[in-house]
Amino acid sequence: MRNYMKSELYRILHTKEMYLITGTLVVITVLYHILTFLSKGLAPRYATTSFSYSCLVANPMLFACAGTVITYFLYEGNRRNGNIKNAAACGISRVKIFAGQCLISLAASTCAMLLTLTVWIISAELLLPKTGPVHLAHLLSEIPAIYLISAACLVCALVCISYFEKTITGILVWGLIWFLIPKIFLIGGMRSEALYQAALWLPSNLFSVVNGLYVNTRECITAWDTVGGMLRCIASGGIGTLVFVLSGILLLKKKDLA
Amino acid sequence: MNEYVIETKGLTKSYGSFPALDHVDLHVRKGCIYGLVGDNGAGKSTLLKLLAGQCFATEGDIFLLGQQGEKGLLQARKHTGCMIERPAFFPNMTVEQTLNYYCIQKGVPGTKKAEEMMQLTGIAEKKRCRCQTLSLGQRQRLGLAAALLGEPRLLMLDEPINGLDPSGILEFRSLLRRLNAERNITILLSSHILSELQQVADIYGFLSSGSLIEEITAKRLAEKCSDCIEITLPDIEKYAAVFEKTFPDDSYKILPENKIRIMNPKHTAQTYSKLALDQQIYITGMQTVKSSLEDYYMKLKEGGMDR
Repeated sequence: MRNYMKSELYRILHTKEMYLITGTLVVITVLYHILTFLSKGLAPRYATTSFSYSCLVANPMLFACAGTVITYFLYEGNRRNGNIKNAAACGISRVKIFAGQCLISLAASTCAMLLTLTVWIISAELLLPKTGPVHLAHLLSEIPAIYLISAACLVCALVCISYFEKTITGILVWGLIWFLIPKIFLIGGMRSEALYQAALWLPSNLFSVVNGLYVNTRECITAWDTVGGMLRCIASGGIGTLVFVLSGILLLKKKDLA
Repeated sequence: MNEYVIETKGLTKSYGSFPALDHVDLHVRKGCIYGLVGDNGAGKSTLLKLLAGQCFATEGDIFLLGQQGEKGLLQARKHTGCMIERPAFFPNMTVEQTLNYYCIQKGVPGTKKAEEMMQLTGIAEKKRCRCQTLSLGQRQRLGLAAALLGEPRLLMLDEPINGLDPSGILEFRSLLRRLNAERNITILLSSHILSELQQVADIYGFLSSGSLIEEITAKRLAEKCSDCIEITLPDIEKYAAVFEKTFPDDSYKILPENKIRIMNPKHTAQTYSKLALDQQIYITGMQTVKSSLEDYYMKLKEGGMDR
């Protein structure tokens, strides 16, 4: 597995995808802050670090989606190009290939996230006035809260794009798992308390207003504000990661490579 | 010690209810060039995919380099190289980067080996080209170069000359012979271009509709494919009856249009024609036919070379 991961690292460093994605995220971040800075005369309440940080604090699933997009760019072509076949023929087991891909995607996404986030914070701090209810501490404490959830989301994306023959099917199933099923649970929760409680553990509900999350220009109440809330986020992500890792092992262990 | 580098026992692969391979018992001896012969859809690629670990068998056992079982096969595959169906590469990586990538994956240190394989397979001049710009023939060369990294003891190649130009085919053939002779690499080669296989293989396996119908050495095949005599006469049944009685050691086959084919004739053409004359059967045509590998395969598919 170590050799497989090393080879994947070589590929990531010698191809342009990761540089393009990270570069695009960084450019968007800088442009966003420059535009906000330039428009501070027109909309002063939005030209603040608080509003800038609230974009990320109010939407933690953005991190999960960004990790998924990176995973998609890194591994979507594998089926089409048939590269997994070569790895399998080298005597690397499917489980090791899957585990290697999970770790590499996570490492690549973490690097991209750290870089983008650093640029986000620096540009916000340099260009915008530090006022409003959302502080840097909220954003920084969001990282441990969302990290395992993002990992689960990324592993789920890998399972979906590796298992389903068509990429579009994989993406749809991923969307179903992460966004539609939580909503169905929530609707079902209107009739059953147990279902409602279960629904609150699912990430897209965990960070929504139904769970008491309010991030706006007046207040900032996040899901990870309290120790209990933080633990809930970490547990939700940990369980999710474990579930999707096990699903991946079960589904991909004996999967024929077409 | 097992004399086979590949041995399968009752290897079966089904896709739903469709049996792509049906109880195949394959035997590839160490140091040989084994030619896998079969039509499109006969099961050649499926068999190679099973051996390469790209698919899983529905039933049966695989012994690879003397190893079996899941862990054993994974270990054995570290010493094999393969190129199955179209060679798979990352389109936006260069030839050099691709080989470096596979060097790392196979645990081959440095870049010297990649350089050597590029020279050996004649793809060195394209080292800075991206894989997506390569022609099919160049991709085949790159596929072979990648398969040869890590000093494989066994090479499995599926339709490797697809897309090669005539000079490329010649080079490829000589390269395979060299790899086999100088590096003692056992080669399992599949192709539907039988004339090409005939020039390199020293043992053949004939696959038809997922079944391995025969394994035969090149020497034995040459004997079987030697000249045969085809006689056209009106009363074929009568001649066949007398023929069988007179020449019990000769084998024959009755063909359509009142023809009888004497395989590996042990007597002269005059002897066979005299037999017809003695029975007052008048021969309307007689010719000597040389069987090719294609003929042999077609005959096997039709139901064997019956006596």
